[in-house]
Formats: sequence, structure tokens, C-alpha cells
Amino acid sequence: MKTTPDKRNRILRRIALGALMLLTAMAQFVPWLPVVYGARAFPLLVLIAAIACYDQPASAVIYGALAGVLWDISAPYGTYHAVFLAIAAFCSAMGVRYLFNQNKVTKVLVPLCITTVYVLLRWSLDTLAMPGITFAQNTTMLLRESLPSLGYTLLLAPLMFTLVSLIVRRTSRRQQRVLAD
Amino acid sequence: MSRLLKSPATRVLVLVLAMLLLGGLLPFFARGTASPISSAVGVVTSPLQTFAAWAANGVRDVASPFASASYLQEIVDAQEEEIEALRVQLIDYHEAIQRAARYAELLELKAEHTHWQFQPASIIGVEHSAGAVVAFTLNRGSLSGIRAGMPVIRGQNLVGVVAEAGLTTSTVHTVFNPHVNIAVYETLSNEIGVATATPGLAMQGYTAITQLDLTTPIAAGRLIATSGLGGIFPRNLIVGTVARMQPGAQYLHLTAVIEPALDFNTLRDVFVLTAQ
Repeated sequence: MKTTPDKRNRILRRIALGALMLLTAMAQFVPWLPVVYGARAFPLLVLIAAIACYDQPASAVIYGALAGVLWDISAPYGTYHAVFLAIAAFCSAMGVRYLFNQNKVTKVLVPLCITTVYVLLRWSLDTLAMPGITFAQNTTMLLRESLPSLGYTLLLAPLMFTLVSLIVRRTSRRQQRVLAD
Repeated sequence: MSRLLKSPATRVLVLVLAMLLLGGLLPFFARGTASPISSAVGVVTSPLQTFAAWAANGVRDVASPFASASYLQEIVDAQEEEIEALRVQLIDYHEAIQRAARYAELLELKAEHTHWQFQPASIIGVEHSAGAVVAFTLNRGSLSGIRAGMPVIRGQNLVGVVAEAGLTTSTVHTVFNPHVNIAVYETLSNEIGVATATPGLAMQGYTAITQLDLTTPIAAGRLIATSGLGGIFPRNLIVGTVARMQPGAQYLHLTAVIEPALDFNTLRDVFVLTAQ
């Protein structure tokens, strides 16, 4: 059965983004990205933010859920990451499509919001899970680990956005070339 | 708002959340098995993770300078504590081995000489003279049955003789002490003699049998043991082996230079023959 160019592009895009997601998950879990003075990077967050900005909302939700499932395999909180990333991808994609246009500001705000909410939620869960933790220890964890992790993660945002936009443009351009022919 | 609720993305989100909820609840009923979603994803990703971990191990050392200093310090402190504990255990282990070796020697001696009685003792002081170990102080004395004149041995080897016995300590003159004269014989030819240490030879770690006839059958490599004559040392305690023969004064006699079997610098435990 012949596939149309449009369908072919979509399949190519899905495969490329899926492979990028797997590579990013490897980089996060193995880990290829070093821990710098207690700060960890969460590149999956900025990747899902990038996909939400460039791709369709429905597929962004699916990618968010899949990325979260990959994360949950090694995390202690059940399906927390899958649920979080699915909802975050939905909110970001719907916001970019219906509320504000995609521009340089949204490309900064979307990963910033997703990463900040995640880091604060994670910090809350981690401190709640530790009985007897003092306010000083709580604050130290926030300042020494959570906030530096936020900064470290956001440093990867330009790379992720570049890669996702490259994949999306390449598949879109091919579609335009085929249509022109 | 209605557009939002009716959009395909909303339907996909609701469906995904329902699946995740179901997948997350199943392990509670499955009692310890992973959720089906995690298992399915794990089948696909575990080969990739194995490869990625193998690749990461190859480059991990490059990133180590960027690791948190306090984290590394904690690891170092914990490992140092563990090393310290292991060192203490190692000391106990070595002591246990030495103790077992001493008991084995004692057992052998007792088996060979059923009428002998021993008092084990440890060396707590060493006296050197001109580089030779001429005397020991032992941590046992007359309260343990030790008296002056008792032979001191280690295994089948002669160490010396008790010179003085206090209540809880005693002084032993070794075979390198010029005051100790040992009645000996060469085990092959039965040639008898008296072994005495001269300061020059003692410094080199030897004792000697002097005044031997020029025709003596004693030669280098022969074994020298106590002869039992004189009543102080029982027979057949090993004194040493003949290292060389050298001429005596004015070349009228020969001297057999004897190298003891024991290393007196590393000796820590001995037995005092309290009854023969």
C-alpha cells in the first residue's frame, strides 16, 4: 500500500523524535551528563517542552507520557513522571497553539515553567519522604541541589530546541519539496 | 473552552492518564511484579541501557573532576573507616595465626618429649651489644615456675638460657652472649665441643666452636646440636649449622663458625623448659 508523502513525513518525524527521546533518556539515566556539585540535569523535561512547542498537542501528550514511563522505570514514585510529563506537554502545547504564538519568549518560558514546577514538586516530595528533616536541611537541599539542577537543566534547552526544530523542519521541508514537484 | 474540551489532544490526554492510572494500580494487585507498561518499555530499552552503560563506563573517568567535592569526601571518609576496621581485623588475624603456629610447635615438642614441661613466654625487651642480640627480657618469672639456668627454646632450636628470674619477668642470655657456653656435638661425626660467642662473630650473627683439632671432621654445612653434657641443655636441641671453618690463633686450631637457625631480631615468643 503506497503511503502519501505527508504520511511518510509524519512517520519519519515520529521515528526521529522517538529516537531522540530514547537517547535523551540514556543521557539522563546512565548518566552521561555529570553531576556537578550535586546538581543533576533532567534533559527529558526540556525535550518534552521543545516537542510541545513544535509538534501537535496530541502527539506531544503521547511523547510526554512515553518519556515519563521511561523515567519511571528508574524512579521511586510509581507513574508520577508519566502523569506529570503528559499533563505538562498538554498544557504547553495547548498554550502555544491557542493562547500565545510561538516565539523566542515562549521558547524560554515553556521549559522554564515545566522545569521549575518539576524541581519544586520533586523537592517537596523528597523532603516529605524524609522524616525528621529540619527546615535548615530542607532549605539547604533546595539551594544546593534543586535550584542548581534547575539551572543545569535549562542550559540544555537551546540544544533540545535546536534538535527538535531541525527534525520538524526537515520533515516539513521534504513535504513542501514533494508538493512543489 | 468547549473547543479545548473537544480537541483531539484532550481526548488523548484523558486516554493516556487512564492507561497510566490502570498501569500504576495493577502492581498493587500483582504483588510485587512491575506494571505492564514498565515491563513492556523495559523489554525495548534494557538492551539500549546495557549498551549505554557500557559506553558510559568508558568515558566516566573524564567527568570525575566535575563531581561534587563533598560527595567524594564522604566516600573517601567512609572508605578510610572501613580500611581502619579491616587493619584491626588483620592484626587480630595475624596474631591468631601466630598463636596457632606456637600451639602447633608446642604440640610437636610435647609429642616428641612427653616428659618435658614448657612455660610459654613473650619477649618484652631486647638487649643488643655490638650489634648482636645478647639478652632478652621475658614476661614470665618465678611465679610461672621459671628459674635461673633453665634452657629457652623455640621449636627444636636453642635460644639461650635463663640468667635471672624475677617474680614476673626473667632475663635470658642468648647464644650470642659471651657468658653462655653450650656443650654441643656435630650430628654426623659426633665430634663434641663447646659453642661460645666471640664479640666479633656475634656482631655478624654467628657463634663458634673454638679449639678444634686441625684434623676435626667438622665441616661447613654440618648440623650442630646440644650434646646434653653438663646437664643444663637437654640433648639434640639445634644450635645451628656450620657456616665455615676458619683457622684459630697461630693456626694451631680450627674454629667452626656456626650460624643459628633462628633470626633473633624477629623473635617474639619462646618456650622455657621448666622440667626435662
